[in-house]
Amino acid sequence: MHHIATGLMQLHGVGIAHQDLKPSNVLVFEKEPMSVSKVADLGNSSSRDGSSPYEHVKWAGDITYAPPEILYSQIDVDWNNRRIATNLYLLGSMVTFIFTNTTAFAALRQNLALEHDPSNWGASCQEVLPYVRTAFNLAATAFEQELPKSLARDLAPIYLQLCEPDPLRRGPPGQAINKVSLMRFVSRFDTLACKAAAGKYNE
Amino acid sequence: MAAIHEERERNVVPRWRNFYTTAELGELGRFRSRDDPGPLQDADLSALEVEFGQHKLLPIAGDLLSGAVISRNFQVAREAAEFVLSEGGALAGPALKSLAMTVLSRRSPLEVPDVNYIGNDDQTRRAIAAKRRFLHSFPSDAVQWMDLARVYTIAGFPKQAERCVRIAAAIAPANRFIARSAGRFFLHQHDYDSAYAVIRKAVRVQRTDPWIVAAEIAIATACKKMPLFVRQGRDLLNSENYRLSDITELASAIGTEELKSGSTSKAKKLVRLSLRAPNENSLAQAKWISSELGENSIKVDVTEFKVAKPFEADTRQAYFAADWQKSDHFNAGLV
Repeated sequence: MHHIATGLMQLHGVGIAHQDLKPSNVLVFEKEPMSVSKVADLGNSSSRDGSSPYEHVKWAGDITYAPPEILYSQIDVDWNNRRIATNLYLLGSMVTFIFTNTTAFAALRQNLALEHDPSNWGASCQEVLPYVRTAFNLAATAFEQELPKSLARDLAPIYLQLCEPDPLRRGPPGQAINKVSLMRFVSRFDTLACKAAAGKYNE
Repeated sequence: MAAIHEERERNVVPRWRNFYTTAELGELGRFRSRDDPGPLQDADLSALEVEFGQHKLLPIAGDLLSGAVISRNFQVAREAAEFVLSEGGALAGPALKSLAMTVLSRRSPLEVPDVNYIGNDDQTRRAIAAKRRFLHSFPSDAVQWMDLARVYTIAGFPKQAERCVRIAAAIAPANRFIARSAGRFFLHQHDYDSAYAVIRKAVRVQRTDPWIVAAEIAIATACKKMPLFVRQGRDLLNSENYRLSDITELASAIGTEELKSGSTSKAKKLVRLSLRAPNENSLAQAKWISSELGENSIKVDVTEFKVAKPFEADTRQAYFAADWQKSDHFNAGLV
């Protein structure tokens, strides 16, 4: 996760949002002493200067990995708001996948009433948000229970911040979405990796 | 429930049930129009399906299952779920197994602690403790605050319930479930100003939501205030933009207003509209209006309608048929 977050942060630093981060777009190279992961497939990426071919498409990546606001057709016109919020969610969905083999929205979806499913909901994302939030909270509880306690203590807050259903509240609490830096998550994943290497999560 | 012979006036005040029951009854939907299939129409699982065909591995099955659940491709989802539960069984974690079991209908998707009855103190205490623990971790979950308020109310703690209702209404003031449930709660507490304030706040934002407009009309009338959205409600009924089941309470609420103003023919027309796809509340209201106007004027036989939880309407029917035993039985269901 540390390598993936670093890759996304570096891309974001040069004004590129990946938009299609998913398990099949992460390449893992087995190396000693530890394997290296790299983010691949920039074919659906978006550029801040508006030069990418998918700039005006609502969602260029794989829609089944998209964050809730995209599934409920809420598009923020601000590039930074939209791309940072999306990057955070995709990163959170990768965390979910690595530890549970499911994606973030699929885990949430099973707690969602049928009429609040994105394929049925016909009103705004804001209106469905309280229902999505309660489904997300139930999924977050299940995610936390699946992990060893010591790991859950460190990883669950990251999951909650990255997969938060409201794009404007995604990321560290109290921080405006356009001010969120992926650097914070890079360093947290680095800490987790160091702790794992030191055997702190061997329960 | 008030004794029927004492009830001079009935309004279509929203029922307050737990969140998932309310959702299951279809009272919280805002359905997508047919010409707007939404972004999920672009979902394409073919590459993952090919990969899964070549490599029957648990992570690929999990990826495919997740994508199929989101895009509602049930055939693919079932295949992947079968693999997860059979061949992946020992390696699959609880979250993936749970998702697979939901797809194969081997698990109720919504296992949330709740109480629906009075009498078992221990179970009620445990439900309250579980919900409080949950809300300690997720304090911005308005829906769960509202459900905790309901459990507190059932257990007989109105002050704690009121605190929860006020928190829920502060988090999501314009939400249909929260506003309607909060309006009902305050009405029962005889706090008429709060009851009307909470629904008024919601209706100002959600003017085109027939469920909230219906609640504004009913709660205002119950609070002896002038409902402000009757004309708006009529416009919504005439717009033909809504499913019949979404306007049943609205037609019923405006019908009740017409009845009170003496326009019986308009009232009857609206009651008939409300009965085209009634819910338990509008059916009970139709039965009440029928008894007000006389059975010869508008006849409502509750056994003709397939409605979930029609306890009050059944009670009224049995009461007026002087079938006391049945009336008591249905009344217990209403509690």
